[in-house]
Amino acid sequence: MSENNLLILTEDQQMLAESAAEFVAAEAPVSRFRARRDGGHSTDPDLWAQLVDLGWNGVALIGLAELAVVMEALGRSLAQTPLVSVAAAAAIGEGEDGKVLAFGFNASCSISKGTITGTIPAVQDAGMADAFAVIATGQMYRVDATHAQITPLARIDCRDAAHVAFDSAPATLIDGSAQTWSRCRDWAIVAQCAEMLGTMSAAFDMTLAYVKEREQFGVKIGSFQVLKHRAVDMFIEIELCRSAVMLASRDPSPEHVSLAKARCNDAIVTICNEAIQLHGGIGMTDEHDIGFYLKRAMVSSQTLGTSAWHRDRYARERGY
Amino acid sequence: MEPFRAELRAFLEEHAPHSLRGTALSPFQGHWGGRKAEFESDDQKRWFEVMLERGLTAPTWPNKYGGGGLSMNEFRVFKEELTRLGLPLPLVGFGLVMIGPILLSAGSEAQKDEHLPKIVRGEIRWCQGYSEPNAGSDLASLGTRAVVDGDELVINGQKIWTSHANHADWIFCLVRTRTEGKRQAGITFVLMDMATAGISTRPIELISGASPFCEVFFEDVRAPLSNVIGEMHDGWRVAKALLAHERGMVGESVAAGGARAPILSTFNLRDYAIDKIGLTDGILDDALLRHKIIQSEMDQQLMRATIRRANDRMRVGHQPGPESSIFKIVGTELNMRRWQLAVQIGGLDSLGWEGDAYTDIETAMTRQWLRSRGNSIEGGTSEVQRNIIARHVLGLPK
Repeated sequence: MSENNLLILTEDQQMLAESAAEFVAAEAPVSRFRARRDGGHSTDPDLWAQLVDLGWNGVALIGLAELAVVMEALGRSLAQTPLVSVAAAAAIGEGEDGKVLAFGFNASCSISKGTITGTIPAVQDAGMADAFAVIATGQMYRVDATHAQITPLARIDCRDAAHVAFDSAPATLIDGSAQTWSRCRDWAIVAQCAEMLGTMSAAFDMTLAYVKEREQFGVKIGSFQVLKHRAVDMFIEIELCRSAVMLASRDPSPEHVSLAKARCNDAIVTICNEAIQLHGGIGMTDEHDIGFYLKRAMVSSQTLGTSAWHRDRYARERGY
Repeated sequence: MEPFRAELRAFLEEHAPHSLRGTALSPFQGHWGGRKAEFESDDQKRWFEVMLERGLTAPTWPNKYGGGGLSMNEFRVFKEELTRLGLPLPLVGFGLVMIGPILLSAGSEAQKDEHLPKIVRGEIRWCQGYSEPNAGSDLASLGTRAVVDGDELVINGQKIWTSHANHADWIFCLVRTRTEGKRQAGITFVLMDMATAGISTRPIELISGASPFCEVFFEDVRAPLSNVIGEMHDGWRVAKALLAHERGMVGESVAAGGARAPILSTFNLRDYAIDKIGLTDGILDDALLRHKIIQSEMDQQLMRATIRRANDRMRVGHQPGPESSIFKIVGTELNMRRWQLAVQIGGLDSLGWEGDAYTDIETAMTRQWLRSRGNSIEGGTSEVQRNIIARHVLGLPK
């Protein structure tokens, strides 16, 4: 068994994790996301330019395990990046140039005489996209963003998504079948899960710090057994999600990918809800960051496959 | 590591009885040893003897006590190679996994020389006397009294939930030697021969009908002071060193499929459900049960992956990480849910206690569910486990 199949970080991955954490702390803390949100921006092109300078647009081409490490760090501070789409593109060997290929996973289009027509709802990273990948009659095509009608969505999590329409848009063939398409989607899902892992971990860490510091009835509220047990349950969920992400990023089989997404979907919503509850009144306010995490949790859990969808696929993979 | 693996593999291929291959169930199923022990088969006896000769009944213990002297890495390979052939351990029991490690770390040379070789050779079977009727989760409140009389301790009191005490030859016990001061500082760790006058046992019947646990009674039992492990009044520290290890082991064992009746060795929830409920176009006919089965299979797979994470850390020489603290809670709770689900899938067929109206496998399955109900209680309740994780892993205030 090679070292890369172990469910631990290699030394190189460990170093990557450390530099990602340093970068996020210095350049992309949650305050950066808040500022973008306040300005009404669902994308952060400057941040993406910085990441491309660091070469992180190509991390997914090294491996999903490496990308997962970067996604987790960025997920902790809700950074606005198109890396989920970049992961999908890496599955077909694209993305080295820093260009963003967004995937229209939510619908298929029709093809006629080399042009594409169709409407795709809620395309992730559409605002940052240089081109779109779509599927029509079992074949993958690329459409340049200049030929797309893009209607940006103002969603609760203030991230890049848009309805995208093509009206006889010129399309070029991508060498890829429906199977490749599904592999692209699975790579995107693994990246999404790793980001969710970072998001839920950060929400938990904030909550844990809060209950250790907040006093009521003359004691730290973290000394109450009922809150301890709830904190432990959050911790357990995160450890299980970490196992799932490690498994899926090292072997992204449909079974592993669905296992990870179903678990992360459920865990992130539960954990962010608990995070708000344990913060009490301050947790309900926009002034506190924790609310951002719940919004992100709900969007990411409904994106790239709900828990029900992934459970169903998992069971089909196992013959029931 | 590869030469070691190759040599071991060749040895196992040559000597492991074919009738035992593929029969491994859990780390607590196999030959337990002891004065009253009888082998279940000639092959089991042969397997034990051939492994004993190479020190592989206690693979990691020093050679001078009859152990194999394997490093942790070699031991990992050893376990992998046994697993590859589905071989049970040649010897199981609390001597190997509980009192042995305690003796190795805290015992005197004389104590090690006296007890370890007998464990290795399967001559003495041990049991653990910790819990008492009024000292369960709050173990430090234990009250079995031991008073010094000359060069002996005189012990009076009662233990409970002592696994297999009725089959054991020796017991390692926590007893109270001081009643004033901090409770933990008045406890002593002592060994007793179960044949000593004044010791009696009584099996406890569980809701599953099985009786794996006993009560143990002590009436003016005399044990020499030389049977005390560590210092007088310092038994809490001696015992505590192993508690975390024990809980991890229980979780890992349960997660691996858990101790179960041999008839259930190949039982698989998914296949049982498909058989019982039926498929239409490859989809299970009961949508709600299907959902629960998926949940259960996913839980199992994630638990196994988490154990793999911990093992992989050790494989590269790291200490187990925080993930290992969740094994007991997660492993036991999902095992309980799984057997309960099996009974729910069985419907009316899984309600039998005994008798010809029910299949043997379904009766066993139902009893397994009832037995599993104790998993989140024995070896530290899930609630106490949560307290421990809160304090020691998450750093929450007392």
